[in-house]
Amino acid sequence: MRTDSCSWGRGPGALILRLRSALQGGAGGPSLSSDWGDGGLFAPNTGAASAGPDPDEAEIEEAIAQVRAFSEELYDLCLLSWMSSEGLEGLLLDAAREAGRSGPAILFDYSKERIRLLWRGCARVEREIHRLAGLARFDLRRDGIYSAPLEPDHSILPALAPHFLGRFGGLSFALVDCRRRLCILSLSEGLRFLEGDDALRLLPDAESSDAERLWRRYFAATENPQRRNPGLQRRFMPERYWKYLVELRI
Amino acid sequence: MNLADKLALLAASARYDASCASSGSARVSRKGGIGAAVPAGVCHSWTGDGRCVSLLKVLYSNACRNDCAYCVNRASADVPRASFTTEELVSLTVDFYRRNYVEGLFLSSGVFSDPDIVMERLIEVARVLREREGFAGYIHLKGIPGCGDRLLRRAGLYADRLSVNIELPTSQSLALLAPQKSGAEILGSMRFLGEAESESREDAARLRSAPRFAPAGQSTQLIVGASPEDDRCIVKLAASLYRRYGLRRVYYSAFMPVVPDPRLPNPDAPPLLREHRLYQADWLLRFYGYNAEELLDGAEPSFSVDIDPKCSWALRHPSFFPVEIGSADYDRLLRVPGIGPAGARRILSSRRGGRLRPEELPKMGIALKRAKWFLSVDGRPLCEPPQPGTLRSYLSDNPAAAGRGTAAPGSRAATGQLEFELP
Repeated sequence: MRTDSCSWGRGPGALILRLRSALQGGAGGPSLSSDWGDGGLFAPNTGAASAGPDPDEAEIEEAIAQVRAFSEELYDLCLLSWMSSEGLEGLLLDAAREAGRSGPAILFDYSKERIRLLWRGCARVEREIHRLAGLARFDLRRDGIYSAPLEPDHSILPALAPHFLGRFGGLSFALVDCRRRLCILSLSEGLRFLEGDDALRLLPDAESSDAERLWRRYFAATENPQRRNPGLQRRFMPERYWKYLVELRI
Repeated sequence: MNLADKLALLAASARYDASCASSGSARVSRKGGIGAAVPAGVCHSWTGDGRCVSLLKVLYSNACRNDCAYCVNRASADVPRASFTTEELVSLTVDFYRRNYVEGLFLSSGVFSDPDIVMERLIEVARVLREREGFAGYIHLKGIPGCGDRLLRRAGLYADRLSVNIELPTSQSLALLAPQKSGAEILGSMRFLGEAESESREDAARLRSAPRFAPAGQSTQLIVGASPEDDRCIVKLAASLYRRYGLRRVYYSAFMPVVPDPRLPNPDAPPLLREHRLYQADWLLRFYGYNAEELLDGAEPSFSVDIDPKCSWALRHPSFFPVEIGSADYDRLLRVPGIGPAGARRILSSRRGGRLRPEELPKMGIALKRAKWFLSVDGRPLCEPPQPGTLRSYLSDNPAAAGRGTAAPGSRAATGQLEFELP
């Protein structure tokens, strides 16, 4: 997973600073969950006061380099924990404190329950990123922007954006988290983060297109009736994701 | 025929090809272009039969001069025929890609003309996608049986993956059911693809900018249950294809009767359990270090209905067990039913943190239900074996079928001279 190829404002910066401090034996401060819950994702952009003073960007860069030099996996765990809606920060900082004391190998010791819970939690975030990289459906808006409505369990837009940025060439696109009312908009001049009604304004606005009709015909034709197995289909593609799937929504 | 009807017809004709993988390739989006390929591949949907939809998988044309008994598009079948144009396929692919419906295109075709001419058409679609549209998504092209190596080489410059279907496990069955196809030609193409791919890998090692030939390699497919060969014959063939021609995947497709034919069996349902057992065995070949001769032998020429091939091997090799949790190496751990590559790696890395307790194993992704019969701690078996002869029932993933023999009923051993000779 790579989220570092784009700028996320200060996104996970505060968590990275706390992670570094935990690695160096610091207490890591009080729990972050109140500052970084849902909707707090882009707190620095909205001027949310609870996050405290804005961390210095150069300092964050330095902390990222130090964490990654210590362990790339720990850095990945940090970004995934940051996106998780399960409050994994405590587990992450504990793991960092232990790893700071006894070396990075401890991060892979699955016999430790808290290490295992951290990996499990992060794996759920990673699985959802991979799943929605496939299940996001874009629709062409009248203003020429391709827009994908999503309702992810975790706040994963920051990981999905680079995936689509890497494949959509110069296309303008929007990823809209309908439940958290967040949007990442990619235009030729760069990325923008939107919240609330501004985010929801980027939802698809067009009538059903020829491409949608063709896709539905295609999808119906690919099923082998002699191999029907709807249980397997639901296992790979839980129904909570069907709402925005062109081929399955009624 | 309008585009939507054509799409439905040529998608339905292609759905018997099991492969829909978009993995094994990494391409980056170019300026002004569209698309990228990621090594792990991406699934975009799952059909009602539970199979992943990753690519727009269609035939260029379902007109075919071959009369293969098992094929829905055989020359003698009474079905409507249609063909796409290059432009139709290019715009469908790009439109679907922009909406994130697919990772790219999987293009095959009926043999509507000379194989070289058909292959040229497929290559032209891929060329226009890559060169004019700047498309860097995934392209899988089918090699038309009988087309020249020169065309396969060109196809490999545009495609991520190429595949030539071997269709059936022996040259005898191929001669009976697909009389216009030649096993020697098919295997010759596979050998060519294997050599071209390894040459290209060597070139790339010397010069990074060297053009890559089909970076996701080649795959093939064979139909299971249309002909009488046993599983041993199929697994041996798959193992030699992996070894000799460097195939990335062999796909097994349970036979479904689509056109009645006296040369074919007429099962009530496709042999899905047999197909499943072959995939399990295929995994053991590719990721677990088993070889074909270990999995099946003359005494047991086909896989069982009630237990998987790995458990079956374990039951036949009691002297290999128990395996010591605290000291066994990776290869030994992998042979324990219930332990996979991830579990074996976790056991190894957890040892560094001190003594490993058995109750921690389930939390490491290990199926203790099966593994406990085959492991020991400090020289003592983790679990005393149950009454002799009953272990099999504890290991079954399909207990209702106990005692019902093999998943390949009616199959026969293929004798030596009938098997494919790999050039």
